Amino acid sequence: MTLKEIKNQYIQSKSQFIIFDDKGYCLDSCDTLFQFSKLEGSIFIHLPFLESMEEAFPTLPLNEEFEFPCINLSFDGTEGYYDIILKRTSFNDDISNLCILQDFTHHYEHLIILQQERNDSAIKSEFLEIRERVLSLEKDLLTFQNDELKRIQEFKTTFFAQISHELRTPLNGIVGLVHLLGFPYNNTKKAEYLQALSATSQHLVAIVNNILDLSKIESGQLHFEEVDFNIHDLVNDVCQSFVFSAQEKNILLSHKIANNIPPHLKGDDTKLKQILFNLIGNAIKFTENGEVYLSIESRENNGNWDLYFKVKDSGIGIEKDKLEKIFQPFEQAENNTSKLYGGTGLGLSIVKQLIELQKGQIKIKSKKEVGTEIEFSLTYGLGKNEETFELKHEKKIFLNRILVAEDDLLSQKIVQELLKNWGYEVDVVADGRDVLENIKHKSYDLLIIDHQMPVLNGMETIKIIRESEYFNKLPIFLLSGQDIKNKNLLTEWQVEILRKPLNPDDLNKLIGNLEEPTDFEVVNLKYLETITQNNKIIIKELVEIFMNKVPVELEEMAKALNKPDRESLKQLIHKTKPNYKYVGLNLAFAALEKWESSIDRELPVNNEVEILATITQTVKAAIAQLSSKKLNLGLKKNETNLKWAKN
Amino acid sequence: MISKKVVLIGKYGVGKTSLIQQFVHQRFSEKYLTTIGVKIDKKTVNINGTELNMLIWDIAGESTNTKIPKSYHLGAHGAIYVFDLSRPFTYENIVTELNNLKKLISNVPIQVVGNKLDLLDEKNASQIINSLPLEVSFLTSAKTGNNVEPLFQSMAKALLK
Repeated sequence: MTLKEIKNQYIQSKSQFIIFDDKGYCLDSCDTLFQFSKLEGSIFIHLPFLESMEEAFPTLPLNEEFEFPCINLSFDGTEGYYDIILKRTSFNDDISNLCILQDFTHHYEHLIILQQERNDSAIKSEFLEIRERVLSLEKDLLTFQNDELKRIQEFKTTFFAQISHELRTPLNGIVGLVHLLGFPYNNTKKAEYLQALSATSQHLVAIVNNILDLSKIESGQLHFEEVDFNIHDLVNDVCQSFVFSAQEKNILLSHKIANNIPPHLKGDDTKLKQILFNLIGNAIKFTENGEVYLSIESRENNGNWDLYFKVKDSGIGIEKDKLEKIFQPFEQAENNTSKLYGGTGLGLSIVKQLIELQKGQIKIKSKKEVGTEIEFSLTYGLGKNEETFELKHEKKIFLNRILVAEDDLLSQKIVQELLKNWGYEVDVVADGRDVLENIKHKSYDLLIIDHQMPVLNGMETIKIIRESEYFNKLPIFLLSGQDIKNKNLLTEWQVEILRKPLNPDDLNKLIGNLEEPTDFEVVNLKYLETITQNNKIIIKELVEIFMNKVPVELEEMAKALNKPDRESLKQLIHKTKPNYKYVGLNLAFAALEKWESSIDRELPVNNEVEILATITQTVKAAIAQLSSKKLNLGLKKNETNLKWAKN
Repeated sequence: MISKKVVLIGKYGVGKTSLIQQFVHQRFSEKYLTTIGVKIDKKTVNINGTELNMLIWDIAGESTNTKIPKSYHLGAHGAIYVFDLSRPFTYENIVTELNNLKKLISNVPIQVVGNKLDLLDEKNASQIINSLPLEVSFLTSAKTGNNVEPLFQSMAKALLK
């Protein structure tokens, strides 16, 4: 056999040539691999590969080969991998299709193993990559947190370094002025010193407030209030306080509020004041012989009002490249700004944050030597028109002696003077312990107590007072400079809050709201709430039993009082007694218990009629209280009871 | 009877073979067996009374479909592009892959399928789809059979249009 013959035989044994028409009918086949020539019907049915190309055959360009490597075919129970060539060709004067199959099963089966290994390891490395990505993200997060901590630390360091200097300057001034005031021969200048002292203290207060605000903003603790305010009054107040400084520097300070703005708005007026103080203060600070102008315009926005503020001055202006910087804490436009004009470099940074925290926007335009224009927008709700009432105090007749507990001497003095001026007797103590001592020995009609005091603070003292049987009715106002966390507790204890620094107007209003106390015990459902685990339905039932049964039992007791037989009276007392405890009439309960025990031990009771009368009065007052809306139990109004209670 | 060629394309290991196995034979194997070249499966479906032979080309997955012989796409009437919801690598450059595919087979229905839905919770799955810059036609699980039949049914309907 020649090499050529050997080669042909080898290639022949692995190849098959088939010629078929467009319908798949076999025209010729060498049948080396598959017996196609003897098949009846179309070969497409047996070879889905060819079937799927059925539509394509007539479109193939003549004599062009299309190679399909590695096609998995099975026919007659044999499965294998074939490289296939399809060709549109002429056969017996007609156009037909040629399919060349080459058997590479052995080769491809070997390849499958390699491919499997390759894909397995590629998928594995994909998952490794994902894990690495997660680790790297975690690392980034840690770096970010670390940077943030560093930033906060740096902020604090700069903050304290800057601020201690800023605080020391006015403090030294105050110390010096106080010293000067102490000289007896300086009498003529006292007024001047006092004025300077007042100005310096106000400046110090402003700085301290700024510092507190900034630290609140930094720690995310700043809260915004929703109060009704008059925009005209607010703007007037702010502008009024700059009148003198404007006059001194020959500045025309004016403002205009657009007519369409409702005068009464709702939002945080204090923060708005603070913003305007800062911006107008700055404008005046950097202007000499010129103009500072505030204008406010607005647009209605779904029931709210978007206010557009503009503060414009004709001052020294800021260079363009420094505009961004001035909103950063401790930054001022020029390094010598602080020396020339003073200030902490905190004002604008606070203003920006106050505006942005209220979802507003601030923009600045400025031209060196021409002036600066700051615009900002804030949204407010529509406010109510609350008539301002003049600070005219009407002395409460039932209010005679007031106890003030405050450890700060200045605040002590202010509250004391105010109350004395209104005609009350005032005792002052400096600690909660002294409060408890004092109320035991003297009778007070009102307690005004500071929150922060040494030894026993305001809240602790109030807790003891409210839990005591004797003083739980004493009206209490709590003075506090901070936000109080347990506001609910204070409501439960019926304690009013007075903001510090004390606004006389607030105190006036609170005293004005005080109602004359009754002589009778106050009902208290705490005991019921505890034993029923605050089950409103059971509480309501027990209260209704008290209201319906106790008056009847009191009448029965009155009848029994006249009988010589003491046993029925004792039983009546025994039966009715627990009802008093349920509604917190502990004094009445104690009295009944003592009475019962006296009868039991056959001891004489002298004033039985008076005891019964007092208890009856207490019950009447209690029923009136229980019927009032305050208890919110949804009790049905029982006319008979109410009538009985009113008699 | 009408015969239509549908090609299944997508990266390796996304579950193309499993989807076809589930559709044609209702079976699933946990074991990953790679495909090489092409294996063609056939299933006859009935769409509103019309019998249709679906000739489904299970094309071996590569890292990119530019590695697939162009001839495989010849005469295709529809394509299903499959990715694995649990492997970002399989859908990271899905837009480029689909554009390449559209160059080879134009004017035929193409469906984009996220497979292995059983490995993810609903929230994660919807996050992934929302992050993709194209519309995903079906989320399937070849393992549970979820949405497999609807996927091929919808393809069959599109082929008859």
